[in-house]
Order: sequence, then structure tokens, then C-alpha cells
Amino acid sequence: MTRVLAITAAFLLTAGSSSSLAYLKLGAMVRGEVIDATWHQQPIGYFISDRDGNGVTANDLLGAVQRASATWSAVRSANVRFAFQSMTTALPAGGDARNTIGFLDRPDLDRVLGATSFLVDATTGSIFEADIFFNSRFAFSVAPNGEPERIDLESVALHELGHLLGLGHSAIGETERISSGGRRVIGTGAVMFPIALSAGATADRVLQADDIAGVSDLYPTAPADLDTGGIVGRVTKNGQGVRGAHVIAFNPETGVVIGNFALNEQGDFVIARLPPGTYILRAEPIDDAEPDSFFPTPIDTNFQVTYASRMVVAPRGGSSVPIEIRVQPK
Amino acid sequence: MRSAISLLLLCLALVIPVSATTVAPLSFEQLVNESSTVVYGRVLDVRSQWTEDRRFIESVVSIEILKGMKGGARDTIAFTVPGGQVGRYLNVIPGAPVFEPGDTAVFFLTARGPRLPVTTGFTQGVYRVQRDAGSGEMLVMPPIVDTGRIIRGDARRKPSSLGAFEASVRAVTAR
Repeated sequence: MTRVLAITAAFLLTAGSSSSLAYLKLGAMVRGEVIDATWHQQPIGYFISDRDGNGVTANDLLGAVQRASATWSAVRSANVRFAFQSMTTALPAGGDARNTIGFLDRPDLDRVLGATSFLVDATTGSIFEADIFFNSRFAFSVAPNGEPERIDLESVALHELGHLLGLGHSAIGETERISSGGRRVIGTGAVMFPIALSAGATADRVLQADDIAGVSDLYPTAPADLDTGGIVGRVTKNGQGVRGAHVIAFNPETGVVIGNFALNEQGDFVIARLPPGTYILRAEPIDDAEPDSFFPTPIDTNFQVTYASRMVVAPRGGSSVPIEIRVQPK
Repeated sequence: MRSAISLLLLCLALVIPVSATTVAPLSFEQLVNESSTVVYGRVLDVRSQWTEDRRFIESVVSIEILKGMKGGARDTIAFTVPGGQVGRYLNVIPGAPVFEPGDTAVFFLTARGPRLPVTTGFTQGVYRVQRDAGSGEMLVMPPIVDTGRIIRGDARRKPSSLGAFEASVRAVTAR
């Protein structure tokens, strides 16, 4: 399937072409070149399917999507605009060249709240359409303060719209295994974290620094280059690059936490669009989750958490001095 | 430095949880119990096609079974994953599992009526198996079975042998 990617024309989670290796982005590999899967024409138009969901109406969905799209559009350092077109009888499925958002009954995806589906021209990398479905298997809510036992629709819409904009998953977050079975999220710092929260939670309607950095990297406003900085470096183990290593930049003065991955065989990473400042860097393996949520190819998770030997400055309008983080096998 | 690191860990622990694509994850016990078939296998072939209603593209993944761990499947088995490429149309679902011929993994599969099985819990039903560069042994990350906070990089959770992984699966099925 997507490692059709590696062939002539492909769509993958990858580094963007314009800013090197920043963020997990969706991109198209066309004739050997990676092209960001971004929307070149804005506003991004969308239709809302008129089918009601479980506990919510199609109009409720429209309201939730409008609020979520407004949240992305409100990011000052990014140029993102959406435009509601109309309600439609069409389902959120491919083939009509329209971006359609709606409910679908997907028993085959019984652990998935919602998903974004891109239909791409494999010869040019251009996007035919992108549809978002919310799984009617789940009870949703649009109550301002949430409802027990129901998933907050606006929160999931915010996450899926992030995908529609071209963002992949973020790994800023952690989970715990609970005695009654399963795992639950106990902390995240990104809307784009791939694991669901408990029903009833609404706090996830707010973008975090990691999300803002990602969307700003994809859709920068003109002055953004001057207002932010980047950190570049490499994660190595026994002299070899560690592909898939997750690197977190933490500013102890501001509390900002932004992460990214080493995305190539050399272990190179870039954390772009950081608020200028001094950061602690930590490299960690994604060994607590399903790596397939992040990467379509196997990654190295056999190494210990390692902090960079020094703090790193993300200078305003530029990038840090490259730093190497040397990790050890477990 | 130490206080700053503590602050980082505190920050990671306290930030407000946010949204997601995948619903509450399965425990390993749930993963095994909800799967009708668990096999270690190698991907032989991946063929994409439109679904019957022509709304989506799905890929049929055929695997050679190298070791059965649960269920009666022998030799080969096929399952579907969402997305794929048909002609010039490339359908991608961010976060969906992706395979190519030669991939090796332990696959947890759920059968649904007359249709081909799917991976249990989306990406949760895929444990990639990789050859250790030093020993040449095929290794897989062990399941998470301890209760409590799951710490990335936990040195106790090293890639382990397929035999140990299979024992974990059989321990659940034996209960």
C-alpha cells in the first residue's frame, strides 16, 4: 500500500521538502521528489454530510467542525482558512472531488473514532479531495462542557482537521496501563497525539505548542521566520543514525514542549518554529505505542532515553548549532 | 539540570490530555482475546482495490504464515487494511498500517463475517519483527503487561525473541 510510496508516486509520512525534516507531515513522492501534501489554494472548502451521528445531528457536526476550523485558523503564525460550502447528501467517501465531512458506520474500524482519507493524484501529488469520517459506532457529544460516556466531537474534529492540513501524528504524550484492562492517556502536549482520551473530556479543544509549531511550519505567515527559531541535530547509536528516535525540546522557563522525529537513516532531526529560547533536549524511543501510528516503515526503538549533554539555543530567525545525541542500546 | 529535567517530567505528566484518532487502546489480553487469528508471518503480496461500493480503496495483504500462535490458519492468510493505490488514485489514511512484500510481523487479526479479516485495533494488531544486526535473531518488542505508567525507554522492555512473544500469547489463550 503506501510503501508504494517508495516507488514512483507515493504518499507518505515524511519530511517536507521546503523545510527539510521538520515534523511528521504528509507528503507525496513524485518522480523521486517529496512534495508536501498541503493545500495551495485557500480557503479550503468542505461539505458536511447530512446524515446524523450517534447522539448528535449533522448540524451539531457542522458547528463542531466550524469551531475546530476556527481554532486552526486562529493560529497567528500560520495562514490557514476554511470555508463551509453546504450540506450534502453525499457520504464522506472518495470519488466526487469534494472534501466531505460526516458520519459513517465503520464496524471494521471499531477502535477508530474518526479518520481522514486523502485521495491523491499519484502522478502529480495533487490532492483530489480529503474526507473526514466520524465513526457512528461511538456516542459523540457537542455539549459545551462535555458529557460522561460520550466523546467530544469538536476535539476529534480538531485532530482530524490537523491531518487534513497535512500533519501526521505527534508523540508528545504518555499512557498508563490500567488494572481493568487497556491503557489510557494520562498526559499529552499535542492535539495530534494519536491515542484517545477518556469520554467526557473537552480540554482537548485547545491547540498546544507542538501543534502550533507544526501547522506554522506547513503554512507559515511571512514574518514567522523571524519570530521563531529551530534546533537541528542527529541521534546516533554506536555511530549509526537512529531513524524514528523521538526528540523533545523543553524550555524550562516557559514550559513549552515541542517534539519531532529523526526521520532518515542518518538520524537527522529538525525541530522548527520554536519560540526563541534555550531548550533541554531528550531523545526517546517510541516503544510505548504502536510505531505504525507514526511511521509506515519499521523504526529503531531499542535504545535508552538520553538527554543532550548541553542545553541548546534556538535563535530568533535561525537554527541552532547542530547537536549530536548519542544513545545507548537497552 | 536535574531540576529542569524534573520540571520536564512534571510538565509531561500534568499537561491536559487531548484528542485522538484511536479510541482507548487495547490491553495485550484484550488484543489476544479479540483476535481470532494470531500469526507470525511474512508479507507475500499487497494488492489494492476499490471496495465493493467503490467508496474507498483497500489493500488486500497476503502473508505466508511462519508460525501460528492462535487460530487454525495454515500456510497463508489474507487480510485488508484501508487505503492503497489503484491506477492514478492513491488513497491514504494517516495512521493506518502499511505493508509491503517482505515485511515480517506478528499479526493479530479479527474476522468479520464473510469479509476478509482486519488487523485487530487498527495499528495495535501489528508487532513488527526485525532482524537484530548483531546476532541475526528475529526480535519483536514485547507486549506491555505491567500496570501503571508506561515509561518510554524502559530498559526492562527490550526486543525479545519470537519464542518469548509466542509464550505471552499462549499464556493469555490458556487462561
